[in-house]
This record gives sequence, structure tokens and C-alpha cells, in this order.
Amino acid sequence: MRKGSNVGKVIVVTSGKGGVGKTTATANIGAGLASQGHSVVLIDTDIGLRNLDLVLGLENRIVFDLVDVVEGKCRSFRQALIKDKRFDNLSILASAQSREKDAVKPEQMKKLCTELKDAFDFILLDCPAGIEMGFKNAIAGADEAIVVTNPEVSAVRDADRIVGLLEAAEINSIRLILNRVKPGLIKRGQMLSVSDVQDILNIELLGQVPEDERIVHSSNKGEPAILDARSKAGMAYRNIVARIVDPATPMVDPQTSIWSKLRRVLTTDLGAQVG
Amino acid sequence: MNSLLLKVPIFHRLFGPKEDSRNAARERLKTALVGDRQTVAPQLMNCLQKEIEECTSRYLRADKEHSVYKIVDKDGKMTLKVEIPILHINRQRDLPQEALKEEKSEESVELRLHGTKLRKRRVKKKSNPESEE
Repeated sequence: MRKGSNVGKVIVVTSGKGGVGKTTATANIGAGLASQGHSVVLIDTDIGLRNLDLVLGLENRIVFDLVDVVEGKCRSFRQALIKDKRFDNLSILASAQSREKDAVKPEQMKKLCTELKDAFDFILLDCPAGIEMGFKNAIAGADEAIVVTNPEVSAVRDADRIVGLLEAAEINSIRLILNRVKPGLIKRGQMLSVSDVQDILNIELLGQVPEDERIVHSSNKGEPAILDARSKAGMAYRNIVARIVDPATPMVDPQTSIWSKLRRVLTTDLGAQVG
Repeated sequence: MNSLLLKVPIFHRLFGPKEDSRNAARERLKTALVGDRQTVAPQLMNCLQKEIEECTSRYLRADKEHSVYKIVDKDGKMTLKVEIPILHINRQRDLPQEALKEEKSEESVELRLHGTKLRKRRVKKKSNPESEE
């Protein structure tokens, strides 16, 4: 089942602020890694607010959930895993919808992650928003962290707090995904740029994902954008996946299409004439 | 006429005044984060204070009880404010060796030049205050 010979990697996808794109990031990175032949399991740790299954189109197939696994209601975690329709080597462990956040304890998560490491190459944990119990559970068994944020003051501030907490929890590899980047706004000086955010947070940049309407379209259908050849965000996620597998992969600038280049040239010229 | 034209979104976007909020966001965030990081890790200031005290003690005896270590907002920039009342400054024999070495780096030369310039100007002012500028 596993591709690599070493034990798997547990990566927590977190953000502090809600709605920045954690679940979308988890789904896309997971699907991307699986498409490259790695065995991947995605765990939705947001107890009470189950979402990952829906984004991946697997909502109708849940029998057991995360709480059932830690409470021993099913024989092993394998019984609770839901296999993806598109990739054999991608499964998810859904979160419990009708339970409280404290239904799982950090030690239980740690134990589960250790078990999963022997069976999978990558274990991705979709972390709930906030810094309470759900967050503590999600990071308990993690080796690495991916912090997702948007170029907005509130999201960046929360990300900074999260980085502090991850550092305190001795998670040493913390990388950043800047999501919903709008190059046009940055150019007009109305949005924090990628380098601004990187400068403020002072952590390694894993990748930047441009704002893309097709993401909504993908979630609507329950298909990750990474499989959509026309999606700009999908392209960015393919690069992010390549960089997770091999950190030496160069980062691509999402604004390299002919149209965006042309638009840039046109608008700058007009601006210069007026100024 | 001009202002009427600017009411049309496309014209406003192309010819209207450039609104810049990026720098405001950057500066406000930086300021907020200094506060955040400090409240989250209060030991940061204690540790910084200890190291500064250790350093100054090689040159002088400070009035530790009345020393002030604060991060303050100065013209929108977060600034580390340190005020250390001095009880007494060490004699030459108690200074670290490096402090007594004559430095010949470019920096010190520049400082000296600057010093002489200042002095000259002051002399001028004294001798002929009305002819200046």
C-alpha cells in the first residue's frame, strides 16, 4: 500500500482564522499527493463541523467517524476509512457531526497518528479554526505544519498567533500557503503582497494560490480543483504538492498566462499616461 | 466635468486617485504583532532586560530599580525604549579591553569629522551670528 520505505509524515493544515481555505487546501494537497502515487489519508479533526467529506464528494459513504475510532467502536481505523472514488490510494477519516470538541483527547490523536504512520506515506490533518481543544487535538500528533492564510490583516494576525503556538508545541517545520491572492489588487497597492506577508510572519513559503472562482465550482461538484486543468488554483496546488514531495522544486508565479501579462501591460501603460 | 466622468467605475479605476491601503495594512499588522508576541511571551521582555543589564554592567553601574524597558509606539513605529539611570561609570581599569582599543574603522573617522563640522559651525555662529544664512 505504501510507496516510501520510511514511516509516513503527519502534516497538520491549520490557520487560526476560519474560512481561509484549510479544508480546500487539505483536499487538494491530498488528491495531488495521491495522484502521484503516494498513499494518503486525510483526517477531518473539526468535530461537530464536518466538511472535508463534502468537499471531496464522499459525504454519502460515512459509516464510522474519528470519534468512533478513538473510542474503539470499530475494529480498527481501517473500518472507518472511506476510499476516494478517483484514487485508490486516497482515503479520508470523517469527523463526528453530533459530538463535542472534547470527545477526543490529544493523547488519543497522538496514538492514532502513530498507527497511521505505519500504513500511509502522508497523513494530513484538517484542523478546526480557533486555538482551543480542536486545535490542540489536531497538532498533538503532527510532525509538520502547513499554515494557510489570506492576505488580509485579520487572517495574517491569527496566522502569527498559530505559528507561535506551533513553535511552542515544538513543531519545527512550519510552512505557509498564502491563499486567495489577487495580483491585480496587490499591483494597485490595495492588498498585502506575498512578500509582505512572508516578511511579517517570517516563515518559509510553500506556495501561493490565486483567487479562483473555479474553486467554488469544484467544491460544488465535490471534485478537488487540482484535477481541473483549467483552474488557476489547481495549478498552484500542483506546484505545492511537488514542493511537498521535493522541497527543491521551484515555486511558480501563478500570474504567467498570456492574458494576465497582456492585461498588466495595458493597465500599466494607461496608468503612466495619466500620471 | 472631470468629476462627473470619474463617477463611471471604469474611468474612476483608470484615472481616479490611487488608493493605497497595502502600506497601512503592513504597518498596522507589524505594530499589532509586536504587541501580540509580547503579551504571548512576557518572558521575552524579562530576558531582553537581563541581557541588556548584563551588557551595561561591564561599563557602568545602573540604577536597576528605576530602569525602564518598554515597547512604545513612536510615530507609528514600534520602538524599544530603554532608560537606564546611571549610578556611576566604570574607571578605565575596569572597562573591557575592547573598549580601550583605538578604532580606525571608517565609521569612527566619519564620526570625528562630523564632530569637527559641528564645532566649527558653532564657532561661526558665536563670532558672527547675523551673517549666517
